[in-house]
Amino acid sequence: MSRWQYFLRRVLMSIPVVIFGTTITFALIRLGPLDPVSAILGTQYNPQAAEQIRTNLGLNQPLWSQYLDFMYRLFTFQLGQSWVIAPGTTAYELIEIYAPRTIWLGFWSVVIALFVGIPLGFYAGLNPNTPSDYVASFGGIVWRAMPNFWLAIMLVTALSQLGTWTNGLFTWQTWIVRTNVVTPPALGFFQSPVEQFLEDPGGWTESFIRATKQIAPAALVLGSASMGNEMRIGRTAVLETINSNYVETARAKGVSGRSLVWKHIFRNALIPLVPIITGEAFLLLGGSVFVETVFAINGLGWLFFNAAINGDLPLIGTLMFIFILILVGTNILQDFLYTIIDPRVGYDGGITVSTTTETEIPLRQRVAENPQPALIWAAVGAVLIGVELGAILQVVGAIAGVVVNLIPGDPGASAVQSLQAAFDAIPTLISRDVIPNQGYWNGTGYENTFLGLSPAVAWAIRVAVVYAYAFAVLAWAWNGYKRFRRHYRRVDWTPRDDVVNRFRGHSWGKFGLIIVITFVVMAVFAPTLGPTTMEQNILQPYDYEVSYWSEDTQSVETVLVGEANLGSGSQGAGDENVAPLTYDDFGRFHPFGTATNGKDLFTQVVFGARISLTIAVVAMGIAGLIGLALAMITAYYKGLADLATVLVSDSIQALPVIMVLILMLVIFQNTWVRELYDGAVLIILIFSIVYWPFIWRSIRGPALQVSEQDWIDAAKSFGQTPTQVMRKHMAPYVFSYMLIYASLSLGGIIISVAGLSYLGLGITAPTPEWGRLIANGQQYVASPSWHISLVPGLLITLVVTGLNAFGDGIRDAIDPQADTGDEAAATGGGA
Amino acid sequence: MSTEQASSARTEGEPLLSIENLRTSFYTDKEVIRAVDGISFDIFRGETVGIVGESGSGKSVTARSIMRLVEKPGRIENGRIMYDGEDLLDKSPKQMRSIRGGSIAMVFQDPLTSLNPVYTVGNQIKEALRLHRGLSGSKATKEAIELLEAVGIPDAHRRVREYPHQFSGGMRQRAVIAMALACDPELLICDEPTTALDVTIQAQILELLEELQEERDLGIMFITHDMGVIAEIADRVNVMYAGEIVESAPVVELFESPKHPYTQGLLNSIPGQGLDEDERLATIEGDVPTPNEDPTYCRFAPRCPKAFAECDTVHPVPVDVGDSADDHRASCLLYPEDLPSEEAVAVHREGGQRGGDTR
Ligand SMILES: Nc1ncnc2c1ncn2[C@@H]1O[C@H](COP(=O)(O)OP(=O)(O)OP(=O)(O)O)[C@@H](O)[C@H]1O
Ligand code: SF4
Ligand SMILES: [Mg+2]
Repeated sequence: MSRWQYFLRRVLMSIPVVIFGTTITFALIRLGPLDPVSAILGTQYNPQAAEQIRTNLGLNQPLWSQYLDFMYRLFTFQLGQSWVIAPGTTAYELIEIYAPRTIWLGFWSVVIALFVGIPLGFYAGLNPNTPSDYVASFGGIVWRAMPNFWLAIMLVTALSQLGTWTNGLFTWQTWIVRTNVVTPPALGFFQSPVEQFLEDPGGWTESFIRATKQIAPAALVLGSASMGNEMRIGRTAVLETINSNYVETARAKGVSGRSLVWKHIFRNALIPLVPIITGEAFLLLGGSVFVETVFAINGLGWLFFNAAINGDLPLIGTLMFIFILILVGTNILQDFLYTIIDPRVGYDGGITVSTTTETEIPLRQRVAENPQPALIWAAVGAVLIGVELGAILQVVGAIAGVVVNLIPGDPGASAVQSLQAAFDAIPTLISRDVIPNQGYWNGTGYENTFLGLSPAVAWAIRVAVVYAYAFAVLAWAWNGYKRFRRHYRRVDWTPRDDVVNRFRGHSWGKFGLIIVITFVVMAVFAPTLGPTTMEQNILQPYDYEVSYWSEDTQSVETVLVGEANLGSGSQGAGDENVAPLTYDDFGRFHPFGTATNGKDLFTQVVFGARISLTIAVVAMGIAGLIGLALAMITAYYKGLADLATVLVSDSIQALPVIMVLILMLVIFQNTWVRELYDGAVLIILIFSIVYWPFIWRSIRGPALQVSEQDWIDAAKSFGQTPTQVMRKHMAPYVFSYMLIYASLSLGGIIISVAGLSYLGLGITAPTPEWGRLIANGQQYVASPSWHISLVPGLLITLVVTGLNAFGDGIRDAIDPQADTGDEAAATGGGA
Repeated sequence: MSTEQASSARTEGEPLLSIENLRTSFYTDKEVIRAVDGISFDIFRGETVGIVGESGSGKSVTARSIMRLVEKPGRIENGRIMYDGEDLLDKSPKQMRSIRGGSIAMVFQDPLTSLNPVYTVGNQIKEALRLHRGLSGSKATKEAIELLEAVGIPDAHRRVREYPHQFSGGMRQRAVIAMALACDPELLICDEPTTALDVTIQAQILELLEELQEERDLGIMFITHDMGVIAEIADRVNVMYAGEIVESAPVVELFESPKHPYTQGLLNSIPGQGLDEDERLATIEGDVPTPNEDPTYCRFAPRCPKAFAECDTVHPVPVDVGDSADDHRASCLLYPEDLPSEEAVAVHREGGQRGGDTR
């Protein structure tokens, strides 16, 4: 197939994608439980008015005719009008007002990303392993791990405070032209720019500069993720081309340094950058919701968000349609760029699949022959598990509780409760009771703390013991693997050894692994790690009491936790602030300080880690299973099954992820699913639905390749059933590719969840969530209570950096030649 | 090229390329690897010199050193590379660029990746023509087509406008050779040019190289680890082991009476070279050691079936294996054959002391 034929096919493919994507939108807004009429009437709801509106809007028509009407209008660009947020205003008018700001914002963020990200990446690639490379690479990685909304908050604060910090030497507001930090850009100069310029060149230029300055901080934030991506990919692409044989050949031909760099290196390095550059459209659209919210730029993202939370269905539909057109257009642009830039487009080059199979080992027999190494290992394991048996059973009990909770009617709830009580009674080494920190000063010494130490020290010891234990367990597990490898495995070498060895040689990946482990331990041991418990401090503060040493009465007093919380909030001013690593007035130690409502921030943060990681892992797991299953089916049967899946997945991928997430969360806001685990279950489901196409896409190639291998035909000829072939012969090979993609996407999900919670749509109270904590402390960032927003944001950045590094390690270990995964996925669609 | 023709070239006049005591080292974090450690050999016009040796013995580094394409952390530390009476190591980067591709051309191992995928084959040949012969436009295109025809690519008019991925593996290697020949080089360095190809295509490429050599009186340095290929194409063979040339002889001589125990092992490991069952080394056991220090012993000693005490204390230098053989040298304490063992060892001991660094 020639390049242009291929391009044409891609363009034609986009027509069904637009239709299908719009249909999905219709299904979401009309089939969901959202009632447009009550959204319009709001509090003035009465049945007659409702019926009236229903007839006027054609909502009494049968659904299919509504659907045809909806589609017909959109595709003929009759975009309708707003019902709720600006009743009677046509969508055209609204777009005319809001779109220019978003375009202006997008324009500058693309400029920043392109003209900073790519040159930096190329520079780093040309000078690998130099200090400047390390600074640029590491900076880029951390930069893109920061959630946009958090970065925006921090930047707003920094810019507003610059004057104070520099003692008036430099204030952002008065620099060059007077502007506010947070404002929609004034774009009046854009109407008939030429005439205006001719009339008053100075004034026009000033307006231009003002508008640019107004948008610059937001553009910097919005461009940040893409900038980081472009840098990374630019760097690896240049590195790869430099080391390629054709560059060597060119050198041997006598090509000079400069011509080598421009003709042979940069030109080729641009190819992997194409999807990153066009992928920016996704990041920009998704990110605009957040950035426009924080910077008060009333653009399209902001408009969509408001339309969504107010249930303004026709406006949602129209905006969604426009977003789909933009994204599909970008995809066509991407294909066009590819077609121009890469002559191999449309050419199915055969890539070889390594044919490695592993032998099954009857392990038990081998252990029986040489039991000693296994026994030592098992004994150590028994000790490690034994000291924590109670805790392990508690987790089992807790899971049983959750499961029972999920089943309507809660059957067997009492049995589970008694079971939980029994498990709670088993003592464990690193539980709160063994190393207690919630004691008080009685005038002469601490009571009820570990060894009479101060609460801070006791808490620190407990944290240290927990981590020591966790790392001991991991060391034990690793040791087990090594023992197995040395003593019990029949073969000296399997392909998996290479994967493990490659990972062990990957310092960046190991760095990521350590961070990931740190957070996983935090999530697993959340109840033990906090200086206080969820129950006492956050959920039921008025059911518990706390004793403390009162300076006034010089005696030990008792107060309800809830009341103590009222006196320990962090709300900016000096005496209304409990900073990290300090005690509050009630002798309670707060490692990360307190939140605005006086509740312990550390406790919330560790439980936040629990929910974030759970959502990310479970959602990716489900999406991965769907993607894997579909990949097997489409690769095995090909033809129609493949085509249909391509269509569906392309359509889902053409939807702006963040917008769909917002929309779905709004739609299901008042349903029972939303109640489960404070929204986590719903979020997991939504993420699985939205993410499986990405996974399927990334493993479709390997699945197709493996399905063409001879051993598949051999398996078929032995009379194995299709499911057997898929499960035994295809899935294991494809699975590792799925693992690469999934591990690179986890960070993105964590950022997205935090972003949605920041908007008030994600995880709701009382379950703590990082994004909500950031929102909680947003207005105090410039005050002494800066820790509330800062700490969760830093933790997100850290864990996402860790996850991405870990993902890189896994990718390089599993397949050193693998394409760099989907970069957009690693940045949470712009949140 | 016939062997007589080549050996006659050998006796008359200057060599085209003469390498003297070349040492190239890599300064890695852990150690200094002497990938090429004090090798010397000549290549004459119209002659094909084969370099054989196991993986990691330093063949590619030798080739790269000649092209001055050794990259960080590698460094050419010692020796001379005399080409046309001038030392390439004294050339400026600019002079070197015009030599690369102009007088000395190189063909790499993997034809599938040696061509830049985003430019047409013609474009890449024309790049060389422009650089070295100042040709451009339709003239260059015409020349490129002729070159493609010369290396046996059918329908060259059309092919010249095609991209590398539209070529088969064998055709790509032909295109790479055409590119190397674009500027009429005098010396062609081939680093395992046929390893990535299947056997029939391999034979075709070898044939092509022989034809081209005859037409253009090329000197060819041919790197491979395939003894069969060497037997077919080379006039003279240098056997490399751990950065050193351990034996050097005309091809027939080498195959008929290999002298160095390593060469003997290599030849025995080819199936069909029947030797007595107990004398046979199915493969040579062990790996090539990494040469990371000044040699004061025989680097092959740990694997050598004939090793004796002195092998661990004396570094063998290249010596004529005996009076009878013509131009046949080996670096092994067993030689010269006609001397008693002690005297032979003494020759090596002295030879080792005399050699000094030139740079
Ligand atoms: N860039 C480099 N950095 C460090 N060491 C290197 C580098 N290039 C080569 N070496 C070292 O030089 C030695 C010789 O390598 P070389 O590539 O010449 O082997 P070769 O004989 O061509 O092997 P093969 O048959 O596998 O191509 C190797 O053992 C390697 O350790
Ligand atoms: S010098 Fe000794 S060890 Fe080395 S090849 Fe000769 S006999 Fe073997
Ligand atoms: Mg080599």
